[in-house]
This record gives sequence, structure tokens and C-alpha cells, in this order.
Amino acid sequence: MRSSRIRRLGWIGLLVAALSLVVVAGVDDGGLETDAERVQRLSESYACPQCRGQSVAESNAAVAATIRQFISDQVTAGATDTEIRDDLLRAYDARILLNPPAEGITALVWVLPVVLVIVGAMGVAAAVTRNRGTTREPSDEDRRLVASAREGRG
Amino acid sequence: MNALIGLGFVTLGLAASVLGAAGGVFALVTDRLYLLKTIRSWAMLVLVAAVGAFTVMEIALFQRDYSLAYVSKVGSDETPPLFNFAALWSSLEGSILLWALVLAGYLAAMVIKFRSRRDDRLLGWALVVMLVVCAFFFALMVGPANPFLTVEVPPGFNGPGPNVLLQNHILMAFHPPMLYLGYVGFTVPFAFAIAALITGRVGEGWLLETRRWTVAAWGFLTAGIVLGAWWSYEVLGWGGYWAWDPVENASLLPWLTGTAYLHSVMVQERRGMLRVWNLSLLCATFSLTILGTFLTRSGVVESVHAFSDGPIGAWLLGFFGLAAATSIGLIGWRGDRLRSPGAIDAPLSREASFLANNLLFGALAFVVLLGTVFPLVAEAWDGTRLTIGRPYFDSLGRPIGLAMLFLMATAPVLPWRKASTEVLSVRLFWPAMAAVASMALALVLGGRGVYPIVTFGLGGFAAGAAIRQVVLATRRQGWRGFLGRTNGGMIVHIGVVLLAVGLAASESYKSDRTVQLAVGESATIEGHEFTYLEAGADMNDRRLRVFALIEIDGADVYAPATTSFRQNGARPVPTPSVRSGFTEDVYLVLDEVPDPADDSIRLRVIIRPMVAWMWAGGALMAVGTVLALFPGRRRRGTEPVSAPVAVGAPAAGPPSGRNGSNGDDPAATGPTDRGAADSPSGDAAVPAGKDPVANG
Amino acid sequence: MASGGPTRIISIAVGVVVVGLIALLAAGGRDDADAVTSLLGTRAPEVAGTTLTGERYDIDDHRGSWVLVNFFATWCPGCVNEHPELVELERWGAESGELELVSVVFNDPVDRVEEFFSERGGGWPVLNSPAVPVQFQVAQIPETFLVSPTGQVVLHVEGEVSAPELKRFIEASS
Repeated sequence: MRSSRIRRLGWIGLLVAALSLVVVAGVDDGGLETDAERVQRLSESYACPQCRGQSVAESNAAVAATIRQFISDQVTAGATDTEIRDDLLRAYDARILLNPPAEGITALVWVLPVVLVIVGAMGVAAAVTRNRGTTREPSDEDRRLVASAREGRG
Repeated sequence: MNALIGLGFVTLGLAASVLGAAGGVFALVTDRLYLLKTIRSWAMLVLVAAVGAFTVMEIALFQRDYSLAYVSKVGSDETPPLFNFAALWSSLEGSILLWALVLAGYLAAMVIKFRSRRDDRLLGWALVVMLVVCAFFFALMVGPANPFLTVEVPPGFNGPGPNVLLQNHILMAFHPPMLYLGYVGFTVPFAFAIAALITGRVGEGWLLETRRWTVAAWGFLTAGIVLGAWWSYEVLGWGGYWAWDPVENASLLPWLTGTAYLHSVMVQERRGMLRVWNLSLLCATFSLTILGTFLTRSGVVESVHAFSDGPIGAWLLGFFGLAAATSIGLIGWRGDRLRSPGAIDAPLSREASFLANNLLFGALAFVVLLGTVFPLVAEAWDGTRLTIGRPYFDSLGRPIGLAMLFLMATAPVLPWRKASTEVLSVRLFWPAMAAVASMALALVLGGRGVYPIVTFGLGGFAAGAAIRQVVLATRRQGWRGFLGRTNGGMIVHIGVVLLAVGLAASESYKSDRTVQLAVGESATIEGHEFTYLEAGADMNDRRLRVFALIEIDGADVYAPATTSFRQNGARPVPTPSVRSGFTEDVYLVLDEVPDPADDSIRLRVIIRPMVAWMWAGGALMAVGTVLALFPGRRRRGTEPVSAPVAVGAPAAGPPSGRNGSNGDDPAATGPTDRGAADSPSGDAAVPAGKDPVANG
Repeated sequence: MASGGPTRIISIAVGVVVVGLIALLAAGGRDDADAVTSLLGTRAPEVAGTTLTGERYDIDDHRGSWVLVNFFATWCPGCVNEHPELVELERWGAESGELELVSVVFNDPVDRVEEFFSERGGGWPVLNSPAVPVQFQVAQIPETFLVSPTGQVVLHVEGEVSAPELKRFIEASS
């Protein structure tokens, strides 16, 4: 049994190590956001109006470059994220947001997957917990049957 | 002339599929099973028709026969042979033709493979389903997507050639056929599923019949998707490989449900459970391929960028409705026969982990589908127009992906039926060390951020578990330890880990800068020095390529370019140049044509680490799939495959080192051996339970 | 029915969802005509900033005159093609006193724009301010808006403008 105690200590050590590594990775995360990083982050959250699926940050299209420049100018001028968002929303419409807002009917797009996962998890939990204990222990006859089958293969 | 012959082949295909299906139904309904063998001839005729139509179209493309409307749309005098060959599937009508060809190929393969079972009712119905699907695609070609329509062109006409983005890279010749082999391949297990429902033979027989077909289709689909991402990365010039646009989502949806099926089917093979669920997954996979084709081809989703409108959308939607109605109706009708005899014994068991796996794949498929169609829902509801893009899919997909990686680590080492935490702690110890080691390594190398580091950790964990299984299998079986579904599956898992790690690193640590450089000037970005040497141009009668020579770190010279194709109104498309490496990719793009009058360029430099890992992961997944197709280790029916039943059982208790987890390939055991292959307290001991998922 | 029941209920539920999805897809995505500008007939967004020559420009200072707001770039072939038309409109506007022009650069370096104008003529104010194309929802150039003397957007041209047509429009409206 000693080896199992050592293993348990090993597991505790591994868990502690993993958690502290995650904490280090999370805390030491580049410090405050620079303007350039902020422009990049904002650009990634708006859709290029002309190109399927690509964000303003990714696209080569001129309209994307223009909006990038707009965001950059606004950031330099000290606008807040909400102000920039409102400006872009006023100019284009909600289609410029790559991330659908969680309001009105659109909230469903966030709620439904969570509901599905919860219901599904409950279903799986019910499936694995139901019938527990109803499994019969093998009888002596079962064991004899197995033993004779195993001899047969030798 | 080509039009006439082509149309003849297409009509022949339609007639043969309809007559074959009708004849099959007649034979099956009136119990004249000897008539079933005629299906063989009809199926072969369908293949002849599809090959004929395909060949005629290729001949027309190479002859530059612009009297065919399709050739005048996608052909040109200057298109080089490879792209001219691939031009066949560069537009709607040709894609349907390719689809029909692949489908006819699968149909013929089925007929040949199962030739000895000519009067089997199940096979008969499966062939009828295949023929009905064939009939639909040939009908599309006779009706709304006729590739052989003719057009009057003036003498000396020269076509525009395929879309410029489709003739920029050699991958375009391979990516669509791969994708179609995968998409269409799922028709075969679907046909068997429907046949099993109709005949009421919902036991496990048909699963074993179609196992390899499903694995092969899955492998093609995987390869097709990865090649598509690679193409997007090498050609489109935005520095990414996956934009969550509806076309990509449409290919991902059947992949997700298909992957879920490949896992949960093992529970049915082994334990006889989840029948309704597995049938539903197969039906969903097939229906989703049709729905995906509808979404991308009808222009419903990308209303701004519709490729094609017209009646094809209604046809595809109608066929999706037919497939879904048939599946749902049959499952509802046969629900009583689908009772499964077994039940899950413990939450800590292989079968429970497969259920969790299915929950995750189902959830991700739901997220992808919802995100793709929800803009339509919102617009129908109150006129809200919105876009659902990367941030949405990322924020929901990431936690699901991490949970999948965690399961990939734990599930393979879990035995069937029941496991103790002791077993887990022994088997997972080394993988857990690998997890911590990879996190530490990532931190030392400068990686930061919770998400990527957790991904690397779970990736190490999953890879550790998979490698452990492969090592055990090869130690026991030698080189055969790489073969068979379980062992091949572990190779696939390692590929998935490489892909996930590459994805996390290249998304989290990318840098994207645009610099203005004059000739001879240098800029330093992320420790690399970029020097603009000179601009140049090369031109042929097809296109004009203007490139800039960029020296990276004073060593290699790369040439990002812009290419203007004659047919495109000379609007230039950027052609990126990528320095790929084991640790990072340097991706150079010119956003605008270098102006000869002006000696400076605007160079976009995107640096993404570990992109190559994703392509390597995709390749490894393909290799693993091929290995999984080989028969695995033969197991005698009496060998134990589950956890020990009870302490103190007589010599029957299997040696713990080799129980469970490995060599689970049931190919050799077959359906009748299943009871014996299971543990001593076999299924019979469990009161007939219900299908846990479908009823849950 | 004991065990077929739940399967059947779920089948029916899934069926209902699928029918809803099909109905939605059959009805959806047909109209995108209103997708582009909704600016027509509304007050023009702000067109203000510093011109390439360093002067202050604000469209509100030009009330009482028709103003043609043109979005362009030197890399866009359509813009190169339409430039003579704009030069002609500038000449006609100065002569009749009815029309003024302002161009807004769409993602292009300033030095190229200066070179473009010195090579191809034209002396109207040029702004380089990305806020303007964003407010006007410009996606593809060349794109041109005509703002009435009262400050309303009355015409939206996607693609190249034609001087005679614009002249006719203004003469008919004033």
C-alpha cells in the first residue's frame, strides 16, 4: 500500500503544480493594454461589412482598413469602447457586431446552448445513475460457465 | 455535341436510379427477393452514367467547348491543365456533378462489396435508399442545376476561367474532392440505418457492416476540412484559416455529428445500448450534409454574397425535409423495437465517458448550427439584422473544446462497465505528469494567458494518455499495435492534440503589423528583420503578378505578390508568401499593388506560432484513420475485455495490466459473440432498460 | 407504449423543430434591397475635418449649395475612370454656382492622393478622415452621395458618376 500513498502525494503535487502554473500564466499576462493592443482587440470584434465572417482586423478589404483607421483615430482621441461601438452601430447596424448582443431575441443565441448543455448533462447523469445497484452480482453458475469457457481456450 | 451526350448520360442516370429504386421497392414489398439482383445492374448503370457525364464535361473543358454554358462560365483558353480539370467543380452545376459521381462510386462499391448477399432485405433497402439519393442528384442535374445547358457564343469567344481564388493554389484540385468523398460517404451508413429501421433489424449487424465505411468517410471529411483550412491560409491572404463562415460551418456540422457517432457506436457494439441515439446521429449527419449544401448554395444565409439563387434552394430544402421526415418518422415508428437491453453501471466507465463525449459534440454542433441560422431567426422575429462571428463561436467553443481534451485524456484509459479511482490514478499518472510538464515548458518558452496554457496542459494530458495506449499496444502486439480501430484511433487523438495546440498557440500569440517600407529599408517586428529589396512583375496571357522581394533576417527572400487576372477586371488579389516553420510562421501580404512610380510598399506581416502543428495534426489524423481501417487484433470470444467483476472471483479475474482499454476492436467478435465477449456478468443479468439518451 | 412513448415524444418534438427550421429557411433571406443605404432622404452625416491642404472643412458651412460627397482611392480603377467626370462637374459647379465637391479618401496614403490630383487635375477639398466613410456606410468605392442645399442626402451613386446625369438631376431639382 505504500506505493499508493506515494502516488496520492504525487497527484496532490501535480494538482498544486498545475494550478500554480495556471495562476502564473494568468497573472503575468502582459500588464496594461497598450493603445495598439486595444485597437487590435476592438478591430477583432467588428465584422468587415463586405467580407463573410472576417473581422475588421483580419480583412484586407479597403472598408476594413478604413474602419480600422477609424477605431485607431478614436482610440488616440480618447474615446471609450462604448463610444466607438455606438458610433459604428449608428453608421452600420447590428450586423457590424461579430459578437451578438445578449438582449432581446438575440439573448437566445447565448441562452439556448447553455440550456441544452444543462439538460443534456442531466440526461447523461440520469442515465449513468439509474439502474445502479440493480446489476446482479454474478451467480456461482455464471462463474462456472466463465471458468469452463476459459479452460476451453487454453 | 458534348451537351447532347452529357445530357444523355445525366438522363440515363436519373432513369436508372428511379427504375432501380422502384424495382427494389417492388421486389421488397411483394417479397420477390430474387428480383433484388437486378438492382446490381441498375446501380452499375448509374455509375456508367455518372462517369460518362463527368468525362464529357472534362472533355468539353479541355476542348474549350464554349457552346456549353458551364464551360463558357468557368473555362478559358489560358487556364492551365490542372486548374482546368479542377474547374469542373468550381461552380454550382459542376459540384453537383462531382457529388453524383462520388455517390455513384459509393453505390457501386456497395454492390461489389456485398455481392454475396444479393437477396438480403436489409441490403436491398439500403441500396434503394442509395438509389433514391442518386435519383435526387441526377434530377437536380436534369432540372435546376443542369451542367449541360448550351449557349450561343460569338466566334473567338474566350471564357473567364474559374474564380480567380480557385486557380491560385494546387490544393484546390484536392480539397473539394476530399470533402465530397467525406460528405457523400456518410450516405452509406445512413442508407443502412434507414434500411435497418424499415426491416426492423435494428440489432447490431448493420453497424458492423458499415463501420469501415463510416470511418473512411470520416477520414475523408477530416482531410477535406483541414485541406480547406490550409487553402484558406495559403491563398486568401488574411492570415487566418478558419473564419466561421457558413460554408465552413456547413462542413463542420456533419463532421461533429459523425465524430460523435464514431464514439457512441462503440457503446452499442459492446453493450447494445444507445440504439436510438446512434440511428439519430447517422440520420442527422446525412441531413446536415444536405442542409449545409442548401445553406451554402441557396444564398439564404449570405444574402449579401449569394453565389446562386434560383430554384436549387427549394429542391435542396425539400430534400432535407424529406430526409429529416423519413428519419424522424421511422425512428418514432420503430421506437418500441429499439429498446436497448443494457444499462450503464457506473459514472466512471468507458460508456459513461462516451456519453459525455456525445454531449460535448452535440452541444458544439448545436452551437455551430445555431450561430449559422440564428441571424435568420432574428430577422424573421423582429427584423433585427445581426452577424454572428468568431467571438461568439470562440467563447462557446473554447470551453467545449477544453472539456473534449480532458475526456480525450481520461476516456481511453477507462475500462468498460466500471472503474475504480485507483485504476484511474495509476493509469493517468504519467499523462498527468506530461500535462504539467507541457504547461511548464510553455511558460518557460514565454507563453502566457489562462486559455492557451490550460489548452497546452490538457493537450499534454490527452497526448500522454494516447501515447500510453499506443505504447502498451505495441509492446504487447508488436507492429500490429498500430492497427485496428482502437490503436488507429489513438493516433488520431494525437493528431487532434497537435491540431488543438497549434490552434491555441496560433490564435493566442499572433502578431499582426503593417509597415511602410521603401526600397532598401528595413523594419524589425517581433525580433525579425524585414528588408524590402525590390519590386518586380511577371506577366503571362492569363495574369499579371506584381511582387515585392522581402528578405527576412538577412537570409531567405520571400515574394508576397498581388495577382491580377485578366478575367477579373484586373482587380488584384493578394497572394501571400509564407515562411513556415516548426515554431512559427511568418506570413507576408501586400494589401495593395506596389506602385512602380512610388518606391515604397505597404507590407502586412503576420506572425503566428505553431501553425504547422495544425497541418501536421491533420496529416496524423489522416494516417490514424488509415491505420484504423486495417483489421485490428483478433480476439477470441472468451478473452476478458472489461473490468474485474468482483474481488475474489476465481482465476477468472483478468490480469489487471491487460484488461479493458486496449484492443477493443470488436471486429472479430461479431454480433453473435458479443454476449460472450462481455464480462461474466453479461448483459442478460441487467433488467432490460431503456435507451438512456433518447429517453433522458 | 411503455418504452416507445418517450422516443415518440422526442421524435415529434424534433420534427416540430425541423419543420420550423424549414419554414424559416424557405421564407428567409430574400430581401436585401434595403441592406445598403438608409441615408436617402435623411440629414447627411457630418463631413468635417482638415483637408489635404491644411484647411478646415465642414459641410455645414456649405449649406445653400448642392454638395457632392465622393469617396475614392487611387488604387481603385473605377475612381480613376470617373475622375474626369468629377473635374467636369467642378468646372460646371463653379460656373453655375450650384454645386460644390468634396472628396473623401478611402484607405489610401496621402502622398499618393496628392500625386493623383496633381496629375489628373481637380482642385476641390479632399478630406482624409475615416470617420466620414464609416458614417456614410461606404463599403465599396467609388461611391458618391449628393447632399441638397438643405443638407439632405438625395442621391446615392454606387460606382462611377456621370457628369451629364448629375447636372440633369440638379437642374431638375432646383
